[in-house]
Amino acid sequence: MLRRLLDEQSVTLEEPTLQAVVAWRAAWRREWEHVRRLPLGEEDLPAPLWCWPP
Amino acid sequence: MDSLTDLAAAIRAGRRSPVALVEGCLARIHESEPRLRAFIRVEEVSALVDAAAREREARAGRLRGPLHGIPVAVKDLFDMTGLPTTAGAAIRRDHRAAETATAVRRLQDAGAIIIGKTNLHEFAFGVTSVNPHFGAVGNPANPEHVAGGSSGGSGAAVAAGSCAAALGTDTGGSIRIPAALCGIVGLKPTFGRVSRHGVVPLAWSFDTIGPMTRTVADTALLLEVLAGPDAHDPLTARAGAFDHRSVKPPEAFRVGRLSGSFFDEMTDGDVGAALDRAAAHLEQRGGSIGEVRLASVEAAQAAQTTILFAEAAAYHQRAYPGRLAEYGPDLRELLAEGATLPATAYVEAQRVQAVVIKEVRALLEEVDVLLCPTVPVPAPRIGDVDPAQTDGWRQARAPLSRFTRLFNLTGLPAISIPAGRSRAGLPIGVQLAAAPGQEARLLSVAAALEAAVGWEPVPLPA
Repeated sequence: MLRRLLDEQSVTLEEPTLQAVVAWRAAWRREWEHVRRLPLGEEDLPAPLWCWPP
Repeated sequence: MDSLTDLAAAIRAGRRSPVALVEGCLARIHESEPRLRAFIRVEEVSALVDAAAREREARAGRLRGPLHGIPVAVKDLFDMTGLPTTAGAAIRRDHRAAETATAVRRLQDAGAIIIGKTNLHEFAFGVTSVNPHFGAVGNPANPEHVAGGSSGGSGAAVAAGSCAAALGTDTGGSIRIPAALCGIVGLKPTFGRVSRHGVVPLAWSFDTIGPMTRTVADTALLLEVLAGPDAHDPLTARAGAFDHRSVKPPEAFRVGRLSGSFFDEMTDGDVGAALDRAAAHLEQRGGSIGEVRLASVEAAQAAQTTILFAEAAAYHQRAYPGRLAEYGPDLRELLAEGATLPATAYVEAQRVQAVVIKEVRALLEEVDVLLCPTVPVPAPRIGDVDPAQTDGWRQARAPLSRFTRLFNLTGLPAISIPAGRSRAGLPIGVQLAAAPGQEARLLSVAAALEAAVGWEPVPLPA
């Protein structure tokens, strides 16, 4: 799936680099679990819509 | 110690010569460059011409500003009319800037002499400044070790005394990391306080311009010159001016020491000991120290990574796929990683950003400044993180920026100041952060800590 996603953006990688990207993406998904566990409510807007720049 | 204020006063009084100062810096650059590779371009001729002009003006009593005759270096991410802005990248070697970046122009208007453009991590997207096109920047404390990044050349140049100060940029820690690893002061101002006009972007949501100097007082003086609105950068519309005289010894202040497993795990023993000493120094100088925790800190890391990587991939989308082979091996990989992130994750990360900002602002109603290490480990060896030799750069990347990225996500002003050395003799920095716009309070506390630590920068050339 990642290969297809990159192909759509004309990004053609050598196999070792592609494997490193796959590993990074897996690590990112694990780190993203912290985001999933964060209770976000309907009133939690993206920062640029109310408080960014500070 | 020759602070910028003292140096500028000596130039005004005719006791120091800008020409002699620039000649001394150029000699030091020539002597140290084979080891440090801190500069991509040294402006030898124009710096000497400018120095002669500043000297004549000083003799005639015509002073341009608070940096009159002071040699300063700028990261090669800042445009200067007619010169290439390489951004540390091979694909930009032929670039020529049509105008000068606002930050550089403000330095020049204040009388500074630009002595050269410094080396960096390619496109500022990295924390080591091991650059495949312009060489790996060596750490002046031990050139076999990295200077940190991405503003590694600026950090090494200031630490070596090759210039009096330098400009850096900070998107995930790129001013504070090299400042900590090289043993100098590095400030990331409040997001939006200094114009980014004429600076090659990495990630628009976080890119911040700031000074890298030998002392906190020097940082305050540079911030005074740099801060404030610029019609070319709408983000600065609400940016306040800064007066370096607002930095005064604090009488009583509250320090929140960031604690919990995120901050305690992975922190090297020497770094932890330096942080303990820094906390004790602050207490002796009138600070009340308390532990504070940030529940959302892990989510904050994930959100900052997502926004930074997605924006970097978006910026490079036009050049990257067609010229893939001309990027360094780590950049090739990092930009592909950013291109795989879903748009929904980007938006979700911006919602997390708002939650983290709320939590940090609540903390900063209880304390004046936050304290943590700048980097959890001393500078790694170049050979252990050089993408051309090893995949160790992947393991080094996250730890080196572990404690800095939070303050990019929240936009707070954050400063790294020297706090000691590791047993191997490598510099260690500690980090202080304050509420948005509270640079005066931040620098006041930082100056108190600096005085207690008693760190001695390398003297500038006589």
